[in-house]
Amino acid sequence: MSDSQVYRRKVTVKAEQGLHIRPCTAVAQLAMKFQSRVRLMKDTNSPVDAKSILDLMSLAAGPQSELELEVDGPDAAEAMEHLSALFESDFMTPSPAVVP
Amino acid sequence: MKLCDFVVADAILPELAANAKESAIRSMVASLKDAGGIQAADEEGIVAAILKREELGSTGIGNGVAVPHTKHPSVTKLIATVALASDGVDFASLDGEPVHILFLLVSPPDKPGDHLRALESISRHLRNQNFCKFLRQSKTKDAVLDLLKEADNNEI
Repeated sequence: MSDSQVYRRKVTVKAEQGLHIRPCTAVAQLAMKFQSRVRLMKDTNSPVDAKSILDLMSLAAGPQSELELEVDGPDAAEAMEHLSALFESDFMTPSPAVVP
Repeated sequence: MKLCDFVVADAILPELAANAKESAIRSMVASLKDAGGIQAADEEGIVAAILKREELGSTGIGNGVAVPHTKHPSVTKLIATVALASDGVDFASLDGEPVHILFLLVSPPDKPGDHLRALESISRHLRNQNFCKFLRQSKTKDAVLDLLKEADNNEI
């Protein structure tokens, strides 16, 4: 039995201006609250570290682009839930409180 | 998008004297004005807009880098300048560290795609440790410009 599972889910960038610095910051700040490795992939490019704003900026993900979110680690389920919700919320609502 | 497509060469500041966020932003916008990238009449409005954006959250994104920016109707094409602060600027960065490399962007409101592509270009090069190291070692406008050109040509 393993306490770690890889979760993958498609997420859509709803932000009108795409994944510019503010959404990137929101994603990285939330991802950093989790121990799990969090990565985002656009098309077939190499995945980037979602805890790094620079990495996220390098995706140049425009509005309505679809990304694959991959979470791997001990708190992966919870991380996936919160990060998906952040994308769903269009990065506008404050993320739910996360117990570290 | 290449760095040299939007960085105004004459506005590069290899030795930024400022050590606070507002003075750093003011120096960089003034440099864009002096280089002819923006009109003098728009300078204060652009500074105010950038400072207002910073209130929404610092653009000090960690790793000693800040990307202050705004949209402004006075520009028809995205322009930027680069500043290097050897002593570091207190930018209220996310990681709490002082900022040594600043890219300041002013983009036309109707071209969000260009803004994303410029951010992609900047971030792609800043992920390269050698680029950051060489940039911080550059002491003249020409040295910075040469480095940006090398980065554009993937020579670093």
